Parts: sequence; structure tokens; C-alpha cells
Amino acid sequence: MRATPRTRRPVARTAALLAASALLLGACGDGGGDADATTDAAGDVAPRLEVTDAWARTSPRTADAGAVYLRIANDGDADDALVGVEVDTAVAARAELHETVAVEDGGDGGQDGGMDDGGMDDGGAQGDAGHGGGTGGGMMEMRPVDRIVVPAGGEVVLEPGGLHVMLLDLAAPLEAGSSVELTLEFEESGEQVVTADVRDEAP
Amino acid sequence: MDPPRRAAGRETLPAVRRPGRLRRAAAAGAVALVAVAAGCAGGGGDEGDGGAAGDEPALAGAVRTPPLEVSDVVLPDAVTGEPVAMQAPPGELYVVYFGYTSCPDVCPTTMNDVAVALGDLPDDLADRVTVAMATVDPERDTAEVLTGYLDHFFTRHLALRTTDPAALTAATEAFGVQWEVEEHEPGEAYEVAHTAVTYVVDDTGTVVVEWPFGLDSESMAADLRTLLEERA
Repeated sequence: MRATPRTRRPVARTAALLAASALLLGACGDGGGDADATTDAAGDVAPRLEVTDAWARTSPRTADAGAVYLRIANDGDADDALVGVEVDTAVAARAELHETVAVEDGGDGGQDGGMDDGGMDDGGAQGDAGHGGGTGGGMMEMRPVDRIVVPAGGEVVLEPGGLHVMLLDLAAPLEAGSSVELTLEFEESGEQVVTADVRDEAP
Repeated sequence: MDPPRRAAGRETLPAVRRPGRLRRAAAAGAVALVAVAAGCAGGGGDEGDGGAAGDEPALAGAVRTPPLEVSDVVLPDAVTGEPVAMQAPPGELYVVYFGYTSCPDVCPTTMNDVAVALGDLPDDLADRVTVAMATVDPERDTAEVLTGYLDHFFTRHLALRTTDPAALTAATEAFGVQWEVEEHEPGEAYEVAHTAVTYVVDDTGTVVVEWPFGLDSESMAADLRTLLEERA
């Protein structure tokens, strides 16, 4: 009834699969280029980013944290990566790139394979989840993320339950109808300022 | 104030490494596992229906076999300190969530979805539902903080808080909830990993449905409507 305990292997396998798909995608791209008789200028390899749908969730009066979500499309022909985010201290003390991930029952740390920070101490897991069916009881936790790759010709979506910008130590509640300005720092494209509308739900 | 791990993270920026991609892969795997778990849970509910209550309307959330009984679980009201048993008043439902207010992503996402679901119901049904949030972070979630948080989302709510780790553990174990406070220095920001499931408890103290994280508000509203009409 429960998901099998996570080992490093599935992660590695997924990663390998992903790498393989990336290769395939790359191959497709090249193939497409051939078919189209090199319509794209060969020498001009650069990411071309567009950030859209930026929004921040309204925050309760007493909450000290907030989240911003957005979509980054890259229709250029080189990868880029989101490597940092800044916010005015009038909004929050600081902003960080985070990802919410599911933790296996018992917090065995299996999915830490290949990652450079454990984040949580696994020693204090409470409870015995998932007996007799139900929803499984697995924990969710946030991890800081150093680098979010925006692949050439692809996009990355920061959305609830996944990647997000966490606003720490909010200076004031995020109120619907207002907006929050963020400076996104990209590895190749440099800084980009985006305005996130504050709203109760995703646009 | 900056956690040391962030400083460490900043040093891993060189373009040769692709940790972000690996993280996405791991996350995709985790999501797949969650999906599998949810699928299994649904199957369990079906088996139960076949045996005992075949003609009950299907619910979007999961139902355990046998159902989880939580009426023995008691947590203090954060404001009054009065014990609150996990058993809704006659004909009513509790929507129970274990979370914390410094949680920027998962908790407000779920709380908002529950609020939208309640808003979708006619008042006479929504008025029979109380959202009970028990904090897994009593250090930061004082009565005032927790109440202010719930006021943002709900008109009918219970803020539950105990500073007794044994009492919190007993309550979470009864629900099958796990939680884990990140080690931190006093005053330092920290996160709390926790089970992000929402439980609906009826007037007998039975968990009548549980919603995995990410269930849409329409499904929540449909489940509540079904469960409330059954108890009309």
C-alpha cells in the first residue's frame, strides 16, 4: 500500500533517464536544425528568457514567511540557470530559492543522494505513518536550491508544492492587490527584475 | 543570521555542476512516489467499500480500512487552554491539519484550497465545518500568531497548540502524521518538515476522508458536500 522505501537507485535512474532525454532532446534539436536547413544562426548561442505569471500568495497577518511563484521560459539556444534572488528589505529580510519535496516515511534520507545539503536532521521523526492505507503520511520539507536550470527551448515553473521563492521575515503582510518586486539573478542572462502580483491563488 | 548552509550553497554555483537538474529529477521521483501512494490509498478505500458500505458515494480523498478513530486525541485550544477532542459537534465536521505558520508554500496552499472549498459550499453546509489547525511549531506559533493566521483563511476555526512534546507526539501518531523540526540556534530561522495531509473528522471522532497535498479545492468541496449531506 505504501510507496517502497526510496533508495539512491531510482534517483540515479531518473537522473540517468533525464540525462538521456536531454541528449535525445539535444539530438532532436540538431535534427530539426538539419531539416530546417539551419534557419537558426549557428554562431548565436545564447539563452533568451521570459519570466511570466509572477505572483505572490497573500500572507496572513501573523505569518513571517511568504512565497513567490513564476514561470521562466527560455526560447534561446543555450541553457541558463536561476542562481539567486533578491528582494527589497521593505518587503522581506531576504529571499531564497527553495523547493518543497516529499520525504519518505521515517525520513530515511534516501533522496539525499547526489544532493549537497541534507537540510533536516533525520533523527527526530515522529509518528508511524501510513498504516492501513490512507494518504501515506509522508512528510514534505523545503530545501534550499542553489541553481535552477532553465533549459534551452524549455521552461521552468515555480509553483505551489514545488520550486518557489521563499520570502523570509516579511516586513509587512502581503496584501491582495499589491505587488512585490524581485530581482532574479541568472547565470548567463544576468539580473532581471520581475513584479509579482499579490493574490490569493495562482493566476 | 544567514544559515551556514546558504553560504555553502553559494559556493556551488560554478557552471560545471548541475545540481539543479538532479534536484528536479529527485523531485520528479518523489512526486511519482506520492502519486503511487495516493493511488494505493484509493484502492484501499475501494476494498473497504466493497465489504461494508458498497453504496456510499465515492470520495476524492482517501479512506482508510479500517477507518482511523481519533476521538481520544485531545489538544489544548491555543487561546483558552481548554482541551479539544478530535470529535466534531453533532452533525458537523472538523477539517484537521498539522502545520505551522512560518511555512510559506505547502501550508498556505492547502489552507487556501480548503478556504476556497468552504466558500464554494452553501452557507448552511459550510457553517457545519470547523478548521482545526494544530501547530507542529509551538516555539514560534503562539496563540496570537496561530489565531491571526487562521483568521486570514477561515471564519470558523480552532487553533490547537501544546508545548508538551509528548502530547503533540501522541496526537500526531494517532493521525499518522510525522513532523521534524530542523535543528537551529535560538532566534535563527528554521523549517519544519511535516505530513501535509488534511483530515476530515466527523462527530464520532472518525477520520472520514483524508486529502493528500495538492488535491484541488473542487474535490475538497465535493467531499465535504457528500459527507455533510450524509449527516444532514
